[in-house]
Amino acid sequence: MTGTIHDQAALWMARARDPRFSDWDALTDWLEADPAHNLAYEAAFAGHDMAGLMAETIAPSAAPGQAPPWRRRAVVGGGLTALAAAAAGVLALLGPYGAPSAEMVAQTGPGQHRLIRLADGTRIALNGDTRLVLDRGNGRTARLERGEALFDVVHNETRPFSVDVDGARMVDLGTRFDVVRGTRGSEVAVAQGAVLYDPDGAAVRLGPGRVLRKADGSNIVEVNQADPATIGAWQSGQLVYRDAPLSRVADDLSRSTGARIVVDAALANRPFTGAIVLAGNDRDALARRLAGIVDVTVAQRRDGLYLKARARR
Amino acid sequence: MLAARQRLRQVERALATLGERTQSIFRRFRIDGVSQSRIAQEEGISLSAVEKHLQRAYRTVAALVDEDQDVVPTKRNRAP
Repeated sequence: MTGTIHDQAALWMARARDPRFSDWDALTDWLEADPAHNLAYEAAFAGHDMAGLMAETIAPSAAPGQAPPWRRRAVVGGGLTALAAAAAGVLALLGPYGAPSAEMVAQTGPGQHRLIRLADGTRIALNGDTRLVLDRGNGRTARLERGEALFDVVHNETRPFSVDVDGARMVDLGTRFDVVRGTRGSEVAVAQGAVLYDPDGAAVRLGPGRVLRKADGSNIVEVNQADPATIGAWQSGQLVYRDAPLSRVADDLSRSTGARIVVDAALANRPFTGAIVLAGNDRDALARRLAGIVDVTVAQRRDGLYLKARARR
Repeated sequence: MLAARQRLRQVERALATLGERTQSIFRRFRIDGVSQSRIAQEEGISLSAVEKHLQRAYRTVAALVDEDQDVVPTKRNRAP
């Protein structure tokens, strides 16, 4: 048993959920020290979410897509960090189905996270600047119109869960997977289980760690391998990359932080490998961090950050 | 709503094993969003004592998640 790790995770959770918590660097160090720390922290986070049900019995009238006041308070109190936002955005979407509108839209603004639970236990985590349309009738179909969503699907052999993105369909085969509808293309990455991409056409089966990318305006899909443990890590405020173009990194950062992060055209395709931890909402700190991690010069602009190549001497 | 009600009962039952004080401190923190330092003032105890109460509560609800595979389906495929 890893009892001590779970105790530590519980302590970090208690600390980090405090509105006055500021020691994000130490938490980050602890999370990065051992993958088991991450898992324990994830469990503590899920426990935090689950305990939130106690509040919903007090304020049960949360309309979909609109956080009740106590949650909004929680976000402000939490200093608008990526982690706090993830916890504060918990939204229970539980029956009854068959309401007048057949579709239900779940949306987030830049820098916001939201967790959706479906009646069957399926959980969908929305990253920032994301729009997801759910079918209220069957509860097993979703369409990602923009942004990024991490699906934890409760598998049902007879009622497979499917996600449409950019006209292509993917069907869950028992899974945790991440879908991105980006500005230049779409991507699906499988953390656990398997997904069947385009079942009626190419029918590509994607197992754990498989990442499928399709650029807009192209019919070619490209499949790569990633570390399954890093897929969906954005949910805990971590962006992990292996040979990802900097333009992609900037897109993700914009979504997650709400700041506009732009990469100089000369750097857009430069590959980046590494992890960026989003801790806090301090733009100066983020700029300093990025300059070090990504090895670029970061210029502050009124609405965000501009990344360009370091001047060489 | 049944699943949510069941989970809620699970949380409440688990927290009930921790005693009155831990429970009320956790509620103040998690549901009312009150800071640890203010809870310490209210309860007349030290900040680190508040932290310990919260740690126990979080440890308990986290364990619930590990147990209940339906709550966190991501744990399904993991080896025990």
